[in-house]
Amino acid sequence: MAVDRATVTELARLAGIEIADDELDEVTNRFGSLIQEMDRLKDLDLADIHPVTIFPEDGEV
Amino acid sequence: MNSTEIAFLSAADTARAVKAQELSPTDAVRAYLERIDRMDSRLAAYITVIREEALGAAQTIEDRIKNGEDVGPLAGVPIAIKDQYWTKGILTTNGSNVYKDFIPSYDSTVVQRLRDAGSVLLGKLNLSELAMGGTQNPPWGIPANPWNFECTPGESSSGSGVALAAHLCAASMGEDTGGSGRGPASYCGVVGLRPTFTRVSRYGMTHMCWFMDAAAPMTKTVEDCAIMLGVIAGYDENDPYTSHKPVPDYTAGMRDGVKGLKVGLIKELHHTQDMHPDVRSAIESSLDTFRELGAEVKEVSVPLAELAGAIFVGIADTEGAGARDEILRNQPGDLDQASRTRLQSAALVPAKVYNRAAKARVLLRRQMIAALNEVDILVSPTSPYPAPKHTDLTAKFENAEDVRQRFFFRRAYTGIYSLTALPAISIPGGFTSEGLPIGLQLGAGPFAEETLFRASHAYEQATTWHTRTAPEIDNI
Repeated sequence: MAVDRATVTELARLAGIEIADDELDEVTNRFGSLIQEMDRLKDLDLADIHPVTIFPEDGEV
Repeated sequence: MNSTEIAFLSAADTARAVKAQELSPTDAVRAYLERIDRMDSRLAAYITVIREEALGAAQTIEDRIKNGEDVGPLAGVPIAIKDQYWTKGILTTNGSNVYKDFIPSYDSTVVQRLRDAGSVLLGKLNLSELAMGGTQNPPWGIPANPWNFECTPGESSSGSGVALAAHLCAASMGEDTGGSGRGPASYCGVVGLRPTFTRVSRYGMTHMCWFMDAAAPMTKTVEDCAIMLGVIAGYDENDPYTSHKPVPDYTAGMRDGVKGLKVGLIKELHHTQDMHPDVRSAIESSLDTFRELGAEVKEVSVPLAELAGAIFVGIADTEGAGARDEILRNQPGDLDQASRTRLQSAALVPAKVYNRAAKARVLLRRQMIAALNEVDILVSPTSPYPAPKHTDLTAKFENAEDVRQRFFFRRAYTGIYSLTALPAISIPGGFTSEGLPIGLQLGAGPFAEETLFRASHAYEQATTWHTRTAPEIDNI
């Protein structure tokens, strides 16, 4: 997913969030870096994994 | 004892002296109040000091002891609490102008248990806004690292670290979502624990990410930390997710040493070129110490560790943005610029990306448990570098790579435990050539805090790092 100012502006509009013009670069850098890092997870085999929020005290997920 | 000697006592030694009636709780409170009056305008550790209430509570403890009562394991110990814990009738700001007038109607469970254990609350401690990090202009001042005023004391439990390093309280409470307790402990040269998730109630704590937030005792010594955890841990009917497992006496096996324990260096967090050389050297020296003390040392692998920072931010920040949605829409101008842009970027994360991060979190947990099937204790630095300068920490990000370097990289070290609900402790592990503290992080399996205290106490007693005093406080 390529991230630039236009992408962030459009996503913010859809989310109903107002980003100030002078903060748009900062938000774009933060969001772009996160998406870039998350893209590195694409190669993992996560098919059989359930995204639990709390782990059981005994036994594993 | 003079007032400086009193203020430099550990929490355990303070309680012992109070119980033996060798130290008046009122004198202990006065010793800290005098230091707060003298130093805190420069250090900005406290947001609120409750002078009269503290003196009144100390007098009550003193009277009860004179009447022969057992007032608890923290008898007369002056403590301070991160301003994220709700305190009945006392301002609780969460470090944000959004909450500048918020006065809770009840105490958080942690605060209540600390009071019940005989401690005396001195006040509420400064923090990064909304327990996040990178706040550029904290409304109640920029907390200064007592080891170097130009450096950050860490985030978000900044005041909790500063107050301990400057001896402005005997023990403190931080909170740790992704390292907010262990990070400041590392940068300030003190002890900070993230317990197993569900070990300590979060009732009455303002949340950042509900399923990763954890109460974090911060102390001058490992023994103090074991005592604090024993006080605050255990089931709470107001937080139904707290564990029913019995709370052991965490100090009981603390002095058993590490002979026979297996210690594992997480290789993905060590063999990285971006680590500060003094930090690398300190960690390798710590392994030598563990060997000399009789532990077996080896390397273990947690392949996803290097991505833990990004996974953490992908989950915790997105949750945080959801929880702060009303503030983001209706009061964005009340937020610090760094908090606002961080939450705004997290609010844009697509559902499929969040889901992938949540699944990767479970895979990371499997990898951590597999590593802990090989060893008893995991080792890494708490942070790959010492405390950065304030100006470096709060500078705007130049590009995506700058974000990766300054934002995600460090968070991998503490985030691996937050993501996997496992306990970890940061203890003093050395100093850089410039005199900044280095934190040694030890981690263990679910509910294995006794093992953590055993290993960290052995290391602490074999070294002298925890006995050093921050030089900057002498200049105030």
